This record gives sequence, C-alpha cells and structure tokens, in this order.
Amino acid sequence: MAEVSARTGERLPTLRKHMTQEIIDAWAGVSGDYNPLHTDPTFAATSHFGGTIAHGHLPLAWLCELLIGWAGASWLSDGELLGVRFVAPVRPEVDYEVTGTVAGTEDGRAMISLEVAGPEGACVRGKAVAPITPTPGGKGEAP
Amino acid sequence: MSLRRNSVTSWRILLTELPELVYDDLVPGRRFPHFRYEITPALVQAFVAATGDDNPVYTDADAARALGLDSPVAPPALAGIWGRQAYLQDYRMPPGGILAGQDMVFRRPVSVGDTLHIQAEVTRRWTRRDRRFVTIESTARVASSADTCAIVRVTAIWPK
Repeated sequence: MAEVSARTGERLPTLRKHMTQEIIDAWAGVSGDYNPLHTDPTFAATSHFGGTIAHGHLPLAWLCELLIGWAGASWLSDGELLGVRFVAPVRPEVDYEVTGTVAGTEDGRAMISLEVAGPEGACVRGKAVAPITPTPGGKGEAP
Repeated sequence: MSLRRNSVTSWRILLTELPELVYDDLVPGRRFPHFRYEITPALVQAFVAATGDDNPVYTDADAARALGLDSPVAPPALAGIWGRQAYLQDYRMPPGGILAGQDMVFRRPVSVGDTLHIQAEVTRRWTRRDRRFVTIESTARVASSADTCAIVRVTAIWPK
C-alpha cells in the first residue's frame, strides 16, 4: 500500500458536511443505537440539549473519511485516532467542516490535529497518527 | 438473550427486551462474552447510505486492488459500532448516555465478508462533577487470524 508524503503545517483537504435528522435516523438503523437523544425529538426537547443530537460516531466517521482520503489505505493497517473528544453536540440541519493539520512528523508517521466545527465553533477535537513518506526538509526525513 | 448479530431490522424490537447495563455493574476488569460481528456487503451499503462516504475501496474490487488491497475493505468507522455492541450485546444502554471520548487503533484491514471476534473489557470508571464516566476497551481480530486488527476505547457518560 502506498504511503502519503507530508510536511508539518500541511492542511488536509477539508470535508464539508451537512447533518440531517434523516442521517441520524439512518445511523441508528446501522448501529442499533436508538438512544432517544438522537432519534426522538419529543424526548430530546426535554433534555438539556433542547433537541436531537447526532450520534458521536457520525462525526467520527467523517474523521475517518478525511484520513483515508488523505493517507489512503495504509491508514487501515497502521492508523490511529487518539483522544477524540466530543466537546459540543453535532445537531441536525447544521453545516460542518471537518479539518486536519499535520502537527509534526516522526519515524515515518504524521501526527495530525483534527477538528469538526460548526457555526458556533468546535464540536469534536482529536488527533490522528498516519503512516507517511517523509517530505524532504521535514522532521521525518530519512537520514 | 443473545443479540450476536448485526441485523438492521430487528434491533429496535429486541432492544426493548434487554436489561439495562448500569454503572454499578461496570467494574474495571469485567470482561464481556466474545462478540461476533460480520462485515456483510449489506452492512457496508447501509453505512455508505447513512454517512455518504462512498469511497469505492469499500465496495469496488478493482478500486481496492488498485490500492494494494486484496478485496473491498470495511469502513474503519464501523469500529464505532462493534466497539459499542461488544458490551451491549446482552444489554441496552440506559436512556441519556453520552459518548465523551474515543480512541481507535487500526492494525490490519478488515475485508468485506470477514467476521470479527471482539472482546470488550471495562478498563476504568470514575465520577467528576456528579457525572459517571466509564471507559471500555474492545479488541477485535478476524476469525481466521490470531492477530489483532483493531482496538477501540470508548469513554461514555453513564446516565445511571
């Protein structure tokens, strides 16, 4: 499997996503997670969220899509998502951007900072590790 | 009662019959029964339809081979599903639980058609600001191999 080149500061191609209740309901069917916070607007309206929110695994799927799109299939055999934190809910009928920036390279691997953000700021933050071919001048350049 | 399958259509009815998995029962070191999770083409199609992630490496053999893979592979985000179902196979989550954090480590691709064998274990629980947190780690291997293919760590705020 081919590896991708990377340099510190490089931005991964941004994904733009729109969340809908239909997507949330479809994920409930795939995952078997029918938590009413996600699928029952009446129940969710009484929660402190004030309405339904997406399963955390949906923005996590966006992060995986971003990473495979950038790193390729090698991420499936030597990739990591680490310290993913859900800092604010992802809500239906809202647009989001999924971004990543190479924070550093070392020993043939890139450390990537990740974020899913909506109009009110970050909803999900995390880091990833992906195998790379070091770019000349980068920290991970072979001796 | 066992739910060791991933049928999309039957989950909702069966879930209401299961006991809730409550915080007091989530003692660190507790291991759940091995969980089998089959990566079927129908499951992958449902994933693609739900997420819109239509990367052909999940569905097209030629696209997979072009990337050096033997055959189409499972979307890695499915780990979020099996990492959860591995501890909920005989239980249901009490209403109101919230996913707080997650780690995923991938060590080898999983092909569409593979069956995963997954072991979930409670690794930590604690309270903070009157909220109950639990971390559960699930380790998966493909049925035909002893090698780990992925590890998922879920941290959730447990409602009761």
